[in-house]
Amino acid sequence: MGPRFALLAPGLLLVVAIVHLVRVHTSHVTPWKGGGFGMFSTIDSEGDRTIEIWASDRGQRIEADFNPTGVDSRLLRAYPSERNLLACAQEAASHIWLRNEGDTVKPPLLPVPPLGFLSREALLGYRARRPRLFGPERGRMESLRLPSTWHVAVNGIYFDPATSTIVRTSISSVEVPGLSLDQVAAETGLTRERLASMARN
Amino acid sequence: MRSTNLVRLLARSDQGEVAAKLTLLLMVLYGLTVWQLEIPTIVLAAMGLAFPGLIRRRLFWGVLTILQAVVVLPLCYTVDNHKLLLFYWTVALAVSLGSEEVLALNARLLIGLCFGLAAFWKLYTGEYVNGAFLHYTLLVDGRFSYFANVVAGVPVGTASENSQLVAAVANGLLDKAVLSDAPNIRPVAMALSYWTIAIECLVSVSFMLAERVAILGQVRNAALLLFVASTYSVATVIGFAWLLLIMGFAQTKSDRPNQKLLYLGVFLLMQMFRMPWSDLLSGMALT
Repeated sequence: MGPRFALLAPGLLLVVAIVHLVRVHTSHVTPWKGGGFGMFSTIDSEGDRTIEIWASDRGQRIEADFNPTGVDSRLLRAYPSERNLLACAQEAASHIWLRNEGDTVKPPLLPVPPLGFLSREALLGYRARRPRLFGPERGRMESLRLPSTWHVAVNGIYFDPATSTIVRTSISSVEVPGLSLDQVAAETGLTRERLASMARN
Repeated sequence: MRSTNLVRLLARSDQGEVAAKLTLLLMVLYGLTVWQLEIPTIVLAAMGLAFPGLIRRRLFWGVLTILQAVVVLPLCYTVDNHKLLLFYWTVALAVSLGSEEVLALNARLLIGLCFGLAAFWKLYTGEYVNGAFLHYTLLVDGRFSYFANVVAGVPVGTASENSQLVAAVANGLLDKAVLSDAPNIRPVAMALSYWTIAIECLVSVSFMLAERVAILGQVRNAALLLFVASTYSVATVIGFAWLLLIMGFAQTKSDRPNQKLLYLGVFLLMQMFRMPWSDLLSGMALT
């Protein structure tokens, strides 16, 4: 290889570091990851970031027990760009959600789940069902819920050294519309009337 | 073997070949644990160490470089920065085959840039300069709890309690929380912050300008060795330490075998930092 490539390695390092610097500002990338060598420079590491996924309907917040499969949670925490957050939110919104009435037990509060997802299931917790698991042939009349909006947020921690106080801060968030009654009818083959009746349960 | 014999042996050794062999060892022991990379790397490293003629072939390093590029670059937002640095170093080994000068230049620039960027981020975020980052880290990060206990008097178990509070706040179970603190931690955090920024700036500038400013060229190896020995004895990221030491070794002057010996000595010493010193010392204190 000729002298033209002699400085290829430092050149690559510089290019990746510049891209990283830009993405820290435009896409909320943590300085710790991405080739910029900003590790151990800030509290805002991907390890202290958490992903929060929830739905809302008529102003009411609904906790959701959901771990997305389409986006790597480590990537989402380190690189919570609008695109990555939208992919996660759209995956949540694409499911048909049933009210999780049977499960009222709160999970252990600590430690943070390994994937960094919040999985608080309250009385109004919801459980995702894929369309193939859902239908009258199962003989179950479950309580259908159609949240109007799905939210995904990545949060971090702020530390005040004067008071040793920590608070949660929002780093990035998106929201997408939930499925409509017509969309669920098309997915499941059930009539609108039947679905509307299930949604009232 | 007497140290003078070792120095003579080092003086006669092929610097590039030693650096290449140590890099293969590093890849096997501390490389990225993704099977797509791990398995072929172990196979290639075993072949390279068994048949040293292979590591003088460009094709050998070309294959290793492509393997790393295909696996490490797409994961750059989830893997540690030193895995990327190892990729750059593999590129450097591939392009500088047969030229110790080019390898030394690459090593100096990679070390200089890496430390320069590390110092830049510490100055840029603001949380490091005002001591907040190290204050928080000493209170929460269990890896530093023994150090925090000895140096700043943070009671044992504080990191565990505080990390539970952090998890509760992160999960939204608490709106805010006050961490258990220690009165001495603030000055310790400030002193450590300034020390780290100073030594990182010195390493960066001295390696980047080693050939232009004589005094910087003379202090660069001492600065890097001091940084590695002081930092990685506390934060035991042996893979990163080894990589810096291999690059440091590769850029020493061939007529300075004592410098090579120092790099190799610290390289081996790093394994001592893996020992459970806090357990051993607390066990001794009990008996």
